[in-house]
Amino acid sequence: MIKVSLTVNGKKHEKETAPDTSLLDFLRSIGVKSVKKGCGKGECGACGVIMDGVYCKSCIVLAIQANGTEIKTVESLGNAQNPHPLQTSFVDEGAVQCGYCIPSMLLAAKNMLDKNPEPDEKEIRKSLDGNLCRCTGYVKQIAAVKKAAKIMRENKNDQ
Amino acid sequence: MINVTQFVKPDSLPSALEELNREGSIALAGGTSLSLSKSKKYTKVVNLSNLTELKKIETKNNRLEIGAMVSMTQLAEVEDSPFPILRKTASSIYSTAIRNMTTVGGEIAKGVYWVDLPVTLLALDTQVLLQNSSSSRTVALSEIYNSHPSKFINSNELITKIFIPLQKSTSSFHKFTKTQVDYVLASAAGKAVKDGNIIKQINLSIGGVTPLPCLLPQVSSQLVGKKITDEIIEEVSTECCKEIKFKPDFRASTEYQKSLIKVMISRVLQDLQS
Amino acid sequence: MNKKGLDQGKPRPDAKAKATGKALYVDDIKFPRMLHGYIFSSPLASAKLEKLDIAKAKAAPGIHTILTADNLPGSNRIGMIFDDEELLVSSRVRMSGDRLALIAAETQLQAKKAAELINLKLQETPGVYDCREALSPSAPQIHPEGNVFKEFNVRRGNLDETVLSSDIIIEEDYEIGGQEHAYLETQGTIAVPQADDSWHIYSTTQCPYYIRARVSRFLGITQNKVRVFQTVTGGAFGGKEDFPDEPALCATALAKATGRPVKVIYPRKYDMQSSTKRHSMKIKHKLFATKQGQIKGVKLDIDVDAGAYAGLSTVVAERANISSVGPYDIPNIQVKTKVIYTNNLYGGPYRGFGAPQVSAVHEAQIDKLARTVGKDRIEIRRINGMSAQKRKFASGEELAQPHLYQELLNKLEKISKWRTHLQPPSRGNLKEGIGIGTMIYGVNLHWGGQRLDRGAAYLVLLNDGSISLAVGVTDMGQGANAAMRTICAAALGISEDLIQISEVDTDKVPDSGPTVASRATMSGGRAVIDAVNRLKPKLDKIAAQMLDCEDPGQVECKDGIYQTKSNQTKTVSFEKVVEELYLRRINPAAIGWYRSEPRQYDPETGQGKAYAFYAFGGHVTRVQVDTDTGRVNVLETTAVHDVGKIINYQGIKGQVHGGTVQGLGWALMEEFKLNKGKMMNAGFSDYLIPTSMDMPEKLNMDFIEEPQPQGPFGAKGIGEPSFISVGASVISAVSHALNQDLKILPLTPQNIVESIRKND
Repeated sequence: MIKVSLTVNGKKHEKETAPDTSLLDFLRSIGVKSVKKGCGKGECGACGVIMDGVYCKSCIVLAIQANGTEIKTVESLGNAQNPHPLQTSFVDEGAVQCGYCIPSMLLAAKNMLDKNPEPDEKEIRKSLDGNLCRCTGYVKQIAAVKKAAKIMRENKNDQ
Repeated sequence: MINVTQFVKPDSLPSALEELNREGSIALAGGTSLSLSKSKKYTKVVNLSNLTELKKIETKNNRLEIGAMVSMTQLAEVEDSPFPILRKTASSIYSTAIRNMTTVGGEIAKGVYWVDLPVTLLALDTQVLLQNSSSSRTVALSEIYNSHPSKFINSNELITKIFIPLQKSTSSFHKFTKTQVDYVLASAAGKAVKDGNIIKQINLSIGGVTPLPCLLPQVSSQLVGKKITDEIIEEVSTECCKEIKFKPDFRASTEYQKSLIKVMISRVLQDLQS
Repeated sequence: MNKKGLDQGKPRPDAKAKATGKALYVDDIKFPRMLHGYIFSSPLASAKLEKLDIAKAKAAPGIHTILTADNLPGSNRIGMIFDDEELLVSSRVRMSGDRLALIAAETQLQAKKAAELINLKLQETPGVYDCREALSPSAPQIHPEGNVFKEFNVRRGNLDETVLSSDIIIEEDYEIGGQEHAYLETQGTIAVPQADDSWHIYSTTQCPYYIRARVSRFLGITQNKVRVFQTVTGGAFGGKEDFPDEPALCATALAKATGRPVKVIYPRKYDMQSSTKRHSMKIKHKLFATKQGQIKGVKLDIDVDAGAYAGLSTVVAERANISSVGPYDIPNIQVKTKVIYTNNLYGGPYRGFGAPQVSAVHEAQIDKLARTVGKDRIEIRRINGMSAQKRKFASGEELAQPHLYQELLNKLEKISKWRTHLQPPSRGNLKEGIGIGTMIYGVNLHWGGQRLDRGAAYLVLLNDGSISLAVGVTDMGQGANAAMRTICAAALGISEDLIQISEVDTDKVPDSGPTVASRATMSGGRAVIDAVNRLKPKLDKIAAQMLDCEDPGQVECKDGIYQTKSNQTKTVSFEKVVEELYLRRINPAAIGWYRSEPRQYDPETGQGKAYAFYAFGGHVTRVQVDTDTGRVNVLETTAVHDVGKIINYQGIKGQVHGGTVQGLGWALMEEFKLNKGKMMNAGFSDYLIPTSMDMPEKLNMDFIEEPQPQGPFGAKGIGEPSFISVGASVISAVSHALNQDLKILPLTPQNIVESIRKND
């Protein structure tokens, strides 16, 4: 067993874990349930987190590899009372159906928008290329990212 | 990974190499492969993510130097790259989240049939800097791939940098997958140095259909001194399949693999033609 | 398109929780003392079980119990319709992934490690992996009853070839592939034994009542001892109709043996390697027509590969059988559908329920007829398709709205700009094509399943005017709860915000049958309206009194405000009326019920009333084919559906988008690689589904809204129709691009390259 200590959405967590534990399993074991396990092999994209500013699939990151890092999950974006523009747009545009892929997809979009606030459709599609969704055909999700980007730009201009 | 008892994250290359000098050590670059490893032989993981000196892309001594810890995302985002095909190759690999994590060194060291970056690097005459705590050696990537990375690179050695000679040349990369996240079914890359329309030097490489990506020295040498014409493209793309030992793949018949390689090589040659 | 639904434009009720990461799926739920279950399964598809020694595994750390066929605390016979399946193999393995033992441990990892210590010996036996080979008398028999375990027929008119005055005969053999559901959330259950010997089962499922029935049967207890809670369900598409019963039975068995809660979550690989699939079918189609293109008759032989167990294959085949001639009124029909056992993975429900496979075939044949007689592909459908004059379905029954098929064709032609794409550009290896696929879908269950065609809703008016609504149909992601909320709000004339609805709890509402066959809106919606109809007169009466109006028939509630129709100045709020209802101690709750009208049908001939009513749908797809690599790039799709009435506009668009892209996946890239029945490509890197990069550049849609009197507010259903004709439109488009007749799905790059080569 190896001790892993990391920060999740600003809160510090420390726990002993087996050396081959994935970051995904580690996060779920400390009660972070918004990170979903769809395959455990880096194929489906439901387990995405932002680790030290980098969007990655937590099922193919070792928990010990994340030792000392700052992890952000969908809770870092916002909550029901105070949602992030991406969350609002996903909800309003009808981009959420079964919802299993959504938390990770929101983080993928967030990570892209941080670098590229004015993406075109192609760039949006590309940013979601590893986030499989079986319900929506991606149409509304792409529209929602576009809409959120606009809101975020306007919010920024207002400041 | 189950027997790992030690996990270190050195802050400098020398200390990383020192850590790797002990038996049972394994370097962790992006971790996308290692995290799934079931191997029991490792007792120590050396995480390279703090080695900022390996995350640089520079032009030095008439060559492009790329640190082994440069990610595919980083490589895909280089502005004004002397080799646009590096950008093309890097951005074609897997999906965003994985491109963010996988590294140049990792893509080379993996030693599997479905990697893409080595196909391009082979065509570009890439040299690899291998270092251990006491010495270093620079070898051609093709030499490593003629053997196998796991055999060629010693367990205490680390890929730290790669060098690509800067040369006035044209290059091209094509790959075929069924979707963005699919493992490559067939790929090809090429680099040509030309005098007017005449080929002075050319490298063609392929991937996806052999156990490891490889160069095609025979057909490449046949092209030297010639002009690339449509007839030559037809001839070479057909001929090259004879040079390749296709590996069985449950995803595609050998005949289909052959036809794809033919198409990929043709497309590369068409690009090199102009 | 400028349409709107009955809804109030609000986001679906579950969207916010899902977008903030708060929604709890089954794997997110924990109970004190909960153990983890693991299924030890067979790697071979046809074998004799020679040895299964669990002694070592039992002694491994953390192990609480290991169950085999010998010590199972319940009935091992778990077949759904046919008694052909065991929960744990007793002696013969028939399918790769067959369960051999169940393990309960403190952690998932411990269970998995213990499984490695099981000493297993299997003797491989000859299997059969092709449904036509399974017909041979010398083929291995999968079950004692023989490999063909059910046949369905349609016989209409007289298909005597000598009598049919046909100039043209088109006879082809088609091979249509299966499909993996690929819901993002894998199968899973938690079984929790209760102190009073009853059971709580938490499951990701679209049919909680199935689970209740099978768990009670397994344990030999009455159904009131089993309470099933549907958890937030991460996609289903038919894959969570009957299959979730199996993880539920596994978890229940382990919980029964240990007396503790047990969670069983399928890892992706095992989920893909053992769960039900869309059936692959081999279909012979013979079409008789005049040289003007008038179809005189069709003869079909449909061979359905059911895999190793019957499951619901017969039900799927029944729909394929009766849908197989499509939306055409053909006087002479002969269809024979065989449901065949093989050692392949077993088939089950999947969006479209056998209709997409037959749609691909009847549409390809119609296209070929068009080419043969030199007519446009839409024109040939106008001639033969249903219309005000041509009203009869394959079952011989006259449809109520046959003219809508002609309207569908008109819309598809116009929106897709069909005529402008008939001579597409062709640049070297890049060839463009346009194609059409249409379909007819019997909404709700077939006559054969009409005993289940029922639905219930429990509506409680709370004394603050808010509403608690429970419906027996499940929201598996498709948005049924949003539709139920909309229907309830519209029927009461109030804001959707007043209504609380969540996943199904079997103790709240009577058994409403399965949520399948695009029947959620229809059966759930009708039950909601029935519940409203039981309460609304009471409210109207009170409101009338409060408004000093003598006739309750003269009051109406709009946007939560009661008024009389004549005097609109005086008002009373819905909340006040409910408050008064409570003060008068009048029953504020009602159970609403729906059942379809009983129908007559002759299964021998397939003649009679097959379904409650019908919906048409169609897709036009434009593609660009790279003839060098065989890769197909979808440029544009146009979907038109006859939906009666749009309930939730955002929801219906989502269904069409999702159905279309899922259909494109099936038609172009999703392919099983089976090696002696074992799925070689179990996982998303080898079993490829569309990514955000693979969807069409343009997705157009439109709807036909002519109310269907049986549906709630005139609505039909959309879940399955949205998928069915996609495959047909792709075959049509690629055939157009390549100028050759394709007879295979999926049109993977390799299949296309091989077809081109064969044609050269």
